[in-house]
Amino acid sequence: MKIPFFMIAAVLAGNVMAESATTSKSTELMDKASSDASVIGTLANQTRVDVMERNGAWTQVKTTAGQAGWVRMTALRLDATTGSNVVPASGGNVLGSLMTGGRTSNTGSVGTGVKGLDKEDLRRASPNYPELHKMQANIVSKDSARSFAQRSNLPAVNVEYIDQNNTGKRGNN
Amino acid sequence: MRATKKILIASLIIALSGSAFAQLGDLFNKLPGNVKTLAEGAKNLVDKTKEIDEPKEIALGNEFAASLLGAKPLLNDPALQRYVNTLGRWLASQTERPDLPWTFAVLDDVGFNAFATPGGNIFVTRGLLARMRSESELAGVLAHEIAHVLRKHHLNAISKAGGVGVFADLVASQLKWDANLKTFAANVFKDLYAKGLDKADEYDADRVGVVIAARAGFDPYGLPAVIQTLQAQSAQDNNFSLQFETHPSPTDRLDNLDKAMRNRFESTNGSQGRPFNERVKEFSR
Repeated sequence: MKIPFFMIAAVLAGNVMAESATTSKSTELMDKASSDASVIGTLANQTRVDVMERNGAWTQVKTTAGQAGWVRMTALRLDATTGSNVVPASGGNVLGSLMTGGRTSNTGSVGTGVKGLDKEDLRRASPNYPELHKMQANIVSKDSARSFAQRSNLPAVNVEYIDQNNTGKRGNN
Repeated sequence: MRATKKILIASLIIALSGSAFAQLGDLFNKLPGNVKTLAEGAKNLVDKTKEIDEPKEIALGNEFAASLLGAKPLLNDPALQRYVNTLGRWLASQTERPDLPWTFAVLDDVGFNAFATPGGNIFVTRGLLARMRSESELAGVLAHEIAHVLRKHHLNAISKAGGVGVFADLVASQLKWDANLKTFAANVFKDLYAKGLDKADEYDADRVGVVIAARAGFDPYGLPAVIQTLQAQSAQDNNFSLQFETHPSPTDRLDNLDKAMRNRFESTNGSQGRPFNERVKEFSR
C-alpha cells in the first residue's frame, strides 16, 4: 500500500514532539543565538533541559524551572530516544510517517523490511538495473534547481572551503 | 636545470610505466635521496596519468548505484524523489563539479543512512528523512555525500584496498575496462560499502559539506545537528548499526567540525529552509 506524500502532510501537520537534552559542561545561557548576546544565566554541567529550536551554532532551551535562552549546541548532549522508531520531530517533520508507512516499490523485488540495511544486505546485493534507470529518470536540471532556490529564498553565497590546500571553487552558475 | 629535470622525470615515467610500475616500491627504496625526490614527482605524474577519467568514473558509480538498489529499492514516492533531486542539485551546483549527472534518490529503507557513488549518485534512506528536523539538516547530509564525490573518496578507497595494480590496470585499458567493469564493480561494491571509507575522508566530507550547505544559502550547522542526533543513538540499534560501523564516532566528528567551524560561521545568516509540509505541497502539484 502506498501512502501518497501529500496525505502525510494532512495526517501529521502539527504533530510536534519535544526533545530533551543534558548539558555536557557548565555553559552560559544567552538571550539570543549569538556570542554577542547578553548572558542571562549559567547552566551547570548535567542540567536537564527541553530543546526548543536550533539556529546556527546555538540551541534554544528551556530549563525545568522555566527559564528559556540559548546555549552553544556543542554544550548539549541530546537524550537518547527510547526506541529506534521514535522520531525526533521537534521541527514538526511530516516525513516522520516514513518510518511507519507501509511502503513498497514499483519494481523492487525486495519488500519493505523491518530492519535497516546491513552489511549482509550489501554483500548479498546483485545489481538492479531497472531500478537504476528509474532513478536516472528523476534527474533534475541545474535550471530547475536554480528556480527552486530563488522561490525558496536560498541565495548562492561565496564561501571558501575550510582547508587552505584546496582550490575547488564554485562553478559558474 | 629545469629542462634536465623534466627529461629525467620523463624518462623515469617511461621506465616506471607499464609492468615496471608494480615494482616501483622496490626501486624507490633503493634510490639515493635527491633522485628519490625526483622519482616521487615522477610517481605522482604516473598516478595522475592513470587517474580514472570522468566517463569511467560515472560508469563505475552507476554500477555501484545498481548494486545498492539491488539491496534496497527506491521509495515509491515520486514527489519526494523530485524534491530530494531538486534540493540536491541546487547544492551540487555550488561546487567545482556542477555538471556531473547529479542524481539523488530515497531508498525504501527504515535504517538511518546516506551513500554516494563516484560520478554523482547520492542516496538517503527514508529512515534518515524521517529523522530530519529541518531542510537545513537534510541539506547538510546531502552536502556531505556530495563532498565524497567531489573528493573522489571511493576511488581513493578502491586504490588503497586493491593496491595500485588491479584498478590502475583496468583504468589504463579500454578493452579490459569494457570486459571487466560489471564484475569488478559488483565485487568491489560488497566490501567497499560494507567497510566504508577512510576516517580521514569522512572528516574531510564533513568540512567540505558544511561549506557547500552554506554556499547554497543554508545554515551550515544542519550537518552538525544531524551528527548530534546520531550521538544520542545506540550503535547497537540495528537501524543505526551500519552507519556507526562505517563512520568515525559522532563525538569525534562533532569535535572536529566544531574546531573547523568555530569563528568562521558565527555571522552566517543561513536559512533553515522551508518546512517539509510546505515542500510536500510544492512537489505534489
